[in-house]
Amino acid sequence: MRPVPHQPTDRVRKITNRTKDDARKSQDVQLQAMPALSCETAKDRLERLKAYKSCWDSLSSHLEHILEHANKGTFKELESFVRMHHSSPSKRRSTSVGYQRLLPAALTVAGGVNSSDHARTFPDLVSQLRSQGCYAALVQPRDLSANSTVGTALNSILRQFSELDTEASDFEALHAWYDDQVQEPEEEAAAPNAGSAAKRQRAGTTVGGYGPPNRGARSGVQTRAAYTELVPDSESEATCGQDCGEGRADSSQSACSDGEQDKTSQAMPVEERAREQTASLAASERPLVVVIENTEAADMLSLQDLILVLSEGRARLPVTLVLGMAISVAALRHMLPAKAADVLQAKEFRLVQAKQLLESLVREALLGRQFHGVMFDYATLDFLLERFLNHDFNVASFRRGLQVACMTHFQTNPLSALAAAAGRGTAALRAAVTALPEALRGQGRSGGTFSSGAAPSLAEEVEQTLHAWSAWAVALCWINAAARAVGMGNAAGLDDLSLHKLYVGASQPGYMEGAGAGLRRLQALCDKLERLSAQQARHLLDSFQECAAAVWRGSEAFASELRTVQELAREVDEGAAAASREGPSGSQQEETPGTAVPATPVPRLASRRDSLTLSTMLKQQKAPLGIAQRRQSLFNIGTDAEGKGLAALEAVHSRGLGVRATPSLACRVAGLLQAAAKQHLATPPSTLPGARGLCCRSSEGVQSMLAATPRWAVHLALAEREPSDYCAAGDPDAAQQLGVLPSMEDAAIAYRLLLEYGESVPVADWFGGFCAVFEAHACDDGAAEEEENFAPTKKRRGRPPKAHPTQASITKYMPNQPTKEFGGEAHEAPRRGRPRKVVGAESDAAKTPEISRGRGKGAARKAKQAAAAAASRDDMLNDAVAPPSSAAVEPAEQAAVGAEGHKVPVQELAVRFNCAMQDLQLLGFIKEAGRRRRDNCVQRLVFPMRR
Amino acid sequence: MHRGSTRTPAGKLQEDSHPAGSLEGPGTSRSTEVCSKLCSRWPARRDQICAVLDVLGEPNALMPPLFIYGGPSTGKTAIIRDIFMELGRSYGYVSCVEYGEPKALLQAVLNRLKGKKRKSADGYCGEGRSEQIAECLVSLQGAAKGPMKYIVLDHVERIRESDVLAVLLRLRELTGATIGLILISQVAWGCNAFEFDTQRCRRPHLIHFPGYKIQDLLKILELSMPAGTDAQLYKQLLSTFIGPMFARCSSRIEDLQRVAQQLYPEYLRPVREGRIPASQRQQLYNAFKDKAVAAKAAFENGLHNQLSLGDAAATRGGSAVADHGLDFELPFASKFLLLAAYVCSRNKPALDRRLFDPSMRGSRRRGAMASDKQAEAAAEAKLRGPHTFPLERLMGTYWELLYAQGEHQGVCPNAEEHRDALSADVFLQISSLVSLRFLSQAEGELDEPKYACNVSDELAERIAKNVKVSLKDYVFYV
Repeated sequence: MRPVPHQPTDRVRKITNRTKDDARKSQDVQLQAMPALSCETAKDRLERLKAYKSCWDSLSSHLEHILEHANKGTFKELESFVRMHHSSPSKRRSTSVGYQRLLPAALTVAGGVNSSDHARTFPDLVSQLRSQGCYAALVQPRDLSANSTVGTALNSILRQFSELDTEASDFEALHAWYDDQVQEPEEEAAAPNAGSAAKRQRAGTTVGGYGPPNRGARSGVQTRAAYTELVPDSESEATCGQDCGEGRADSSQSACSDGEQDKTSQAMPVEERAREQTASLAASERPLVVVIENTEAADMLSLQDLILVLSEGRARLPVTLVLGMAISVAALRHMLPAKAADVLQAKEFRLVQAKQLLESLVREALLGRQFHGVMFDYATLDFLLERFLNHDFNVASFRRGLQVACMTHFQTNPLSALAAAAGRGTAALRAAVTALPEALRGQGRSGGTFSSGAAPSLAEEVEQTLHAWSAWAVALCWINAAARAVGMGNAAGLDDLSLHKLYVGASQPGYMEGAGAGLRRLQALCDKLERLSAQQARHLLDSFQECAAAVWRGSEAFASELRTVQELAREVDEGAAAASREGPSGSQQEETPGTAVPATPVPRLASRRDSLTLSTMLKQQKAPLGIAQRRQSLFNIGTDAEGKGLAALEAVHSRGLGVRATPSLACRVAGLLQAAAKQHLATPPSTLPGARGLCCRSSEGVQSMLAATPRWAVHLALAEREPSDYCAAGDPDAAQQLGVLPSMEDAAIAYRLLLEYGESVPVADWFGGFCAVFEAHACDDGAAEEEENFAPTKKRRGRPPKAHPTQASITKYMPNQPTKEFGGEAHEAPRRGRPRKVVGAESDAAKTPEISRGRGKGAARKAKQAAAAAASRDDMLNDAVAPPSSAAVEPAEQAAVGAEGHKVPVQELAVRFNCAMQDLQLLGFIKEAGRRRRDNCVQRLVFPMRR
Repeated sequence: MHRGSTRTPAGKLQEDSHPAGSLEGPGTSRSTEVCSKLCSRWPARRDQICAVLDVLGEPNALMPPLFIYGGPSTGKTAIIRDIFMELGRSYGYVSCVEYGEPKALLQAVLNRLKGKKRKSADGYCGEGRSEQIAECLVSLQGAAKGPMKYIVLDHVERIRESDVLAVLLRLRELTGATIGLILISQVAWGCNAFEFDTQRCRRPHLIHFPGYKIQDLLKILELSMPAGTDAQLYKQLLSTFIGPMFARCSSRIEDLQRVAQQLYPEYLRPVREGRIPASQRQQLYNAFKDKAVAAKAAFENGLHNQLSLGDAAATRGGSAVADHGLDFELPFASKFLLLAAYVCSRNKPALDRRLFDPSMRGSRRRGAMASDKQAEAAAEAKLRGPHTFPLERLMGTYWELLYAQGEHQGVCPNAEEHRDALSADVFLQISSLVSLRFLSQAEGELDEPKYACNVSDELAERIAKNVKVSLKDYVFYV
């Protein structure tokens, strides 16, 4: 043996170095994900990365779990439907009068236009069905396209059923496969020695749906004719004998054996028979399911063919169909041909709707039992919710938005390293704060003081924020629970009290202030709450307790409110017990809505009765309190030391003043809810100082990453940006980001001119304005000042060209308004410089001077406006665009005047204008609109800009 | 011109129609037995069954091509299958729905005739596909030797304009194979499509399966009575209600069977509760009449029938979205896109400017007859139906509707909404709506695709109601 070298050999050193290099590279990659912020070391950056992974993994896995389990109930219903309609071959033969052609179909409405959420729904269904022992296949709409035959879909089904890579694409292949599956258990039963092992092996491959099937086991299958259809009975089989020859009835033997089985099995006990059937006919008992995803997208004639083929073969292959739809059954009814619809035995199922899914995501993941270390500000949530409701109904997009917000937060906020420790208790939080650099620890402090006068530490601030978050979350859940109790807060509807809307709304500062929407809604909710019966109110109290328990540290944050809830509940229970002892009359009284609680007040309340005098009460009757004040006063009986309201009201009632003095339980619950909501929703936790390290405030980042608006970006680049921004030849990135090229300067000028017009513009007018831009240089300052106050007074044809404030008008870049003389010049110059050879728009443009002069003021006005661009043109042309070549300069009377004193020939202008038009057409901003009033016009296609 | 054989009313064949002769001979008693069995199972089909048995003849006897035709739900395929089952003869069933192409069809026929078991080792593939029809025919020569083999070709109307039909009809001549061909179709042979390419072929023996009469339907329903049912009451229900009320609406056995099975428990209830004795037919009729009338009102054929009578209504009743006029969810922008598409498909493009451009309103001079002309044009346009529209027009109308909605609610569009209107999401939703078949891409070049709106008037009204837009203000059919 060779001795171990004392020093590492070159090879070992090389490997070690490579490992080190890999580790370093990996760390570099990780560090690049978290850009360096002030006062941070590499370790701190890695801590942030670790915190991001921890927080997002936690949140993401929670979201994933909810999404996975959202449709479990419907899946189970579908499975039982499939099992109910599955008939084994023996059953089929014994029941049918004719032949069965009705195909059981589960019409599964996925509820939502956007199919990306359902991209996994039906694969999940298929895998669940497979795990439950069904043969399941998923057919995509592309398998049922107009260009493909039904064989494509049948091939897909066979591949998934058999897990073979096969080219067979007809029903006979499916039938042959199923025959193999059904017969193998029989053979195994006949050969008990080898049966169990083979069965186990097959169960491992087919039931789980993974791995190739055991082909060897099928090689010994008795060869039988595959082309025959129906089953002669045993007598006919005996008589027909040779006639059948090689074409002996396919399943005749099994049918005969079935017949014999039936006869013999009648004598057997039912349990034994069932056990035997289960053992021997396991494959035949396994339902066959074909799931068609996104049925609306499939070609209906192809789908009809598939349905007809499966329907005709139903007697041999008991397939159940699951049609996944996005819209509704009614839509399918209109689309599916009658022939196919006639053979469907349909039942409707509904998966969870998108809004309900969002609601459960908010309830369980964002406001649930687990705090994931991050919270989101109003702008981010508002954008995500608006996008969800307006555009896609896509929970996956919502989730992606959360991830982007989370990632941006961790990339940009040095205090975000605290987030991972936020949900893990005070000790972990303090340790995380200690691990921060000293400078960062100072950043997080808000400068506020405790009651003791000491400045709060960063950890304490975060703790306070977390406490406030828990209380805020419970308050939201309470409002939603109350809303649901009165028939509001429905997630599927347009209700503002659904939890996801509450969650977003209450994240906005001022939500519960006087002008805020929250207070108004709360008021309306409490008004409805007062009409609840005592029993309903009692249930609501239970819901309140459940809500508090369902929120992370909710019971702790809502301790005082929960005590009140418990007191009220106990009071009601005691009252109900007393009423039941007294007799049935009491219970009847309790059932009527709005009646007073029959129970006596709790001792704590009774001791405060004297604080409100009768005269005060009478005053209140004369000038009744507002609903909110009254509710507040009622609630204060239970909580405040002032103790007014209930006792006095009871007293008034007892003295026969005809006032319903005793507050009902519903009133008190409403008061409790209102007080709690006002207290805890007053300040969103994301705005508290301790939320700096926890709150994701990157709505711009989320918007830029989720909402792609290429046309809008190009519009902005052309209409609003300084041309020098994107004409800068030295900065190609800027041009690329803006979506325009430096060579599109002329297009920008033309586009800004176009924005001054209405929906459409005659090309001649437009070109006149374009030429005037290049002539404006000749205009001296004095003349410009004279004309500065000039404004076209005549109303333009078409829509008033008032631009949106955010849109730049070309007049913005035109400080100098053209003179009338100059306008005349603008007409003159192009007229004399008419190009000889022009085609298309160019020819139209070349006609401009004459036409515009003859027609009147249209082109002149545009020219006047456009000429004012001269000032901006100076910079523009100096920086970016080379001035027109001197070789192209024509005699002065034939040319416009360039920015640098060059006279641009109108031929060149026409060519440049034509190029600009083509650029705009290519971008999809304009199109030719044909002739209108004898002019060739172009139409602007980006409609929102006209306002 | 009448060629070949036709069936006489008694089901006997004319002189040259049956090469193997009639059913006289040694097999007669068995054939009679089979015939009586089949006739007992298939009421009102005695003539057809006898005719088919006549044509089939003895085992291994040659037979002319048989063409069976009749409307849907008349028992063509089921009876043929049952006949073969009862006779104990094997046959190959080929559906032309599955094999639309001639080569695939011939290959399927070849596979049936060869009858080899498909194996998993071969991926359950049949014989190798022949590239040419001639190759198929050569293969058929070898495959179809020996005893008589039967091929049942269903949905022949699918290949009525194909050359392959003529090949199939001349299969025996071309290959010498002993093949009995049975063609099943919903379209009669007499139409030109069948005879276009088959002029030189021998005309097949035609057997017509007429539609069932109501009495026949009731007999079939009686035969399919579920187990454990009181036969007398069930017959009463069939004769009193199902026949007179429902069988006039649909002759599909499945529909009637379903209705009968759904109504029977209700019909039986007074008897089971002891309120009315089973013998009191008139009282039972009076007690059940209203329910039957209500059921008939909800009765429609096919899928609709199942969904309206089934428990789907109960499932949908709990849906909260029904309160808002729509039974499905759509994003806000999608609803406006659909409304915009609806408006674009109904109005002429020239009307857009008058509708959406404020400066155009009231400035048009109208003649005395303008109103009448407009009404006539609108009626004509409505009759002509929706037309296509370019994408840009859709986007323009979409924005206008959004803006009008904002104005109605006192909200002016801000920069964000401008941005939204031009976002890629809107275009993505258009493609979603196309995939959901609310819109369809009709024609158009690459740079200007055109769309057609498939939204019905009723659905458009419901969407408009949902988003609180008055559709009448925008649709003028002019």
